[in-house]
Amino acid sequence: MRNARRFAAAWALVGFALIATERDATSQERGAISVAAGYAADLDAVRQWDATLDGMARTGELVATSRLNDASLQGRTHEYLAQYHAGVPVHGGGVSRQLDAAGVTVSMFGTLYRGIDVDTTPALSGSEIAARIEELHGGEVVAGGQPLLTILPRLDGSFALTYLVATSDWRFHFADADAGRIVHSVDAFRSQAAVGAGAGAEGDLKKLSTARAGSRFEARDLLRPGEIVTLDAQGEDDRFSRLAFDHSLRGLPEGEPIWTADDVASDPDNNWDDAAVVDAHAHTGWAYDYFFQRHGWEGVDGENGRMLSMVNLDFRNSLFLLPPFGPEGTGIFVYGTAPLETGVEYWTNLDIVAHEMTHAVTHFAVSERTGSPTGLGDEYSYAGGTVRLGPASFTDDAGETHSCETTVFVGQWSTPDGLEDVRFPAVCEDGRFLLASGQGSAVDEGYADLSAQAVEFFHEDAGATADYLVRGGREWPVARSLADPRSVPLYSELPQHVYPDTYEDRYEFALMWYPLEIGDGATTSPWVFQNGQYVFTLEDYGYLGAHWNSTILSHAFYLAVEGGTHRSSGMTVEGVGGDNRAEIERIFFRALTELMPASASLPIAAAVIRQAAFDLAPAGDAQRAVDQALRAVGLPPASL
Amino acid sequence: MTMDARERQSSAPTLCMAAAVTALFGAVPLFAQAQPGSTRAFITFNGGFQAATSSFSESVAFPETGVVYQETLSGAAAQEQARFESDYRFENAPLFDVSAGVRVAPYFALGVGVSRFMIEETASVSAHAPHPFFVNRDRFISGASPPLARRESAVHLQALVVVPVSRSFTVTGFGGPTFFDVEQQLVTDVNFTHAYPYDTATFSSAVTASPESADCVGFNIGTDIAFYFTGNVGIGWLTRYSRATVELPSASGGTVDVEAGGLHTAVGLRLRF
Repeated sequence: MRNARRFAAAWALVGFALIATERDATSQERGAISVAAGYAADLDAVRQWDATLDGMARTGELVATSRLNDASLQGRTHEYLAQYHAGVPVHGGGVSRQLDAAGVTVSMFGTLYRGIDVDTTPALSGSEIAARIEELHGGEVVAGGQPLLTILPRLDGSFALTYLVATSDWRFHFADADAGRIVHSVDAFRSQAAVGAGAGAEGDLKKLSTARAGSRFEARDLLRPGEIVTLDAQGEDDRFSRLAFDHSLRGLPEGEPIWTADDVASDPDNNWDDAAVVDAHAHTGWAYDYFFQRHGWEGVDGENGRMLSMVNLDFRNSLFLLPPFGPEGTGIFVYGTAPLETGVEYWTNLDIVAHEMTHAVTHFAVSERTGSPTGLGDEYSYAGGTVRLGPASFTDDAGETHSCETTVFVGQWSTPDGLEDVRFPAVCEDGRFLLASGQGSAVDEGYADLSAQAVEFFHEDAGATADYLVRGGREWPVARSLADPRSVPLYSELPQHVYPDTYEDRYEFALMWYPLEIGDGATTSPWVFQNGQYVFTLEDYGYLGAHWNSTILSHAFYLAVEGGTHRSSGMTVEGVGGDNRAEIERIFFRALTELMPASASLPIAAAVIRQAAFDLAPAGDAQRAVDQALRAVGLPPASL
Repeated sequence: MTMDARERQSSAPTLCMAAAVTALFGAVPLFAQAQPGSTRAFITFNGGFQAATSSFSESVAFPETGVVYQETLSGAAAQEQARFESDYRFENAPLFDVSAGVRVAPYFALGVGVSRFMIEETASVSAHAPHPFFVNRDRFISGASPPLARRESAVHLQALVVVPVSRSFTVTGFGGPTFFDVEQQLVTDVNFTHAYPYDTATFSSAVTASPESADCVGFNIGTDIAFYFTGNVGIGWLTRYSRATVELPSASGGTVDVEAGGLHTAVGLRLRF
């Protein structure tokens, strides 16, 4: 009760901690609160929040999952307080708290959930849930059939006791612990691009750090402090499946390898002629160099754990498959090679590889600190503005009018018997569509792009092309532009729909419910909205717009460095200049690795980045540049 | 093999012999300045030093090998050529010389001298160590080798013109071919240390091998001024310049040109019979 009063008082004091925007007042009784209290916050509010967090920690509502020394500011520490209810973690709930040398709180960022009234005694056991998921969905449950009991915040502000289950379809499912139905699903991979193609190998000579093994050489880098291993799928889907999933399906301990010498890319004379291997192996090392040398970040997990990549799979994309997948249960990078009529398309150029590695850094940095198994969260919630009300009806490209109360999308669902057509009703509130986008994913993708560019600038002397352009495929060479997002269309066949450069112009999707026979969670429809208005329809459901909306954040990075007049807002940003790019890189990296909470919308991420700028460059040019850049992209300090 | 070594390889013996022939005949004086004595033969024992500074340099390049990278220059040439230059310089070195001859004409004699000197000097070594991760990003390192042994043995055939200035004071001029046997320790590789990110490297040591040896014919020319206390015993001052170029096997797989000989100056016992 005492804590509840503190909670309420803190909420009242922190004006920029917002709950359930555009929702009715009753929802404020329970639901999410975004906590963003930093250098610009009222001191009383910070102290009040601080007391609230301490009180919740005493009662076990918050549990410290990590306490780490600041990597750059001596005396500072960072602790992550994950939210629990009756001993069960609340997915996405938690606060990242920064303390000074005296133990006084400097900043707090995160999301807390109020009014949790869930009975934490599950009706089904973990193994029963696993069996139910496999029966319903057809995939195999990984990690030895030991699902993790988790409280999942729901769209309507309620909470569900769920099991978090990783399955062999590259997904994390939240399954109702009482009924076994899927409530929510998120990807267990981070892809380079949702659509598009790759870049071919450019024929430039690169050195590879390899290891002699008998009469051959293997793509194993033993010179860098963290070992880099490049596996060769040799175009075999079975090999990919074994390496990607067997470890987790067998429930082996993390770090125990299942890959063998037969899986490792090799060459008889160390003069490598497989462009995919050359580029993937060399570029992984280059990206490693950037994180290590620029930020002191060792490997992708921060502890120089082995980094595993796989090449030569026939697909036009690249991805990072999160733990517990991969041949050691620690994730794996997968890079496609696609034979086209115009030549072979390699998805292994530097900015693609650096992009995927940044996904891994993001995942480990966030998951290790916060205890969130899925890394940077992507929940649909009102917290931070990731969900808002849309129109009551709209007319799509085909001329069909959809009313929220009556419309249904017919999509396909994977079952043990194959794909089946199922009907998804729209999520409505007060007769209006509910719009959402994956903002945590957008932050993730934005970081992946901006870090990839930073890696390219870092390696310009080695021949890297640093131009703030994210490479695509042979048929679509530019996937995204950090310098001018609006110059690049989302799809070549839809040139009028371009990447956004302001938060206001972010793309959203009408949410829809899973069919009752599957679950009662929500997913995104193919109907795309911008500024609350329908704009076009995708071919399939489930995309979160992460890559599209990522350019809001990555463009802010560009502006903070290079400056200029924002194309949409007309605001002028005085950048720090290319010579000082590293200052901005360090600010963004600090925000990600030390301050970012498990659940972050774009506004929360902006607040965290501002705090990092204040920490590293108080009243300096870099702080000013970051602030101006974030304002220019529509993320002012009060955007929460 | 260095380009220098390769270019000199074919022409050096010819030059060497030409110099020797020129010295043999050109060193003979046109006329005598005094009556010769009754001496039939002589022996000289000298101790001194090789006075002139001698130097040579060697450039060794290791072609890329395509093997695993190691912290030696040859091992660093995994995918890119590695190279080092070593500069050898020898200052004054102790010299021992024994000569003997017989008079064949009133002012002329034929003789043979044997000289030998040994020295140990360090070589300065500079190297370009390829970066393990990046092309065209050599790290420059430098240091000194351990003391390297150099030994020269020379047999000087001499035609002498003996000028007795007085009964006790004799000036002798001579010249002729010299047969050199040169042993030289060379730097064969360079050890270095480096640590991730390998943008710099530190010279650790120079690798040396057993001395390489080679023979060559050159020339000698010089004078000997002797003062005899008695009819048969005296002291003298020898000044000799000899020169030849030998080709020693190099770590590059080719050869390296090494100048042998130099300016010898020595004093010692003179015996005549």
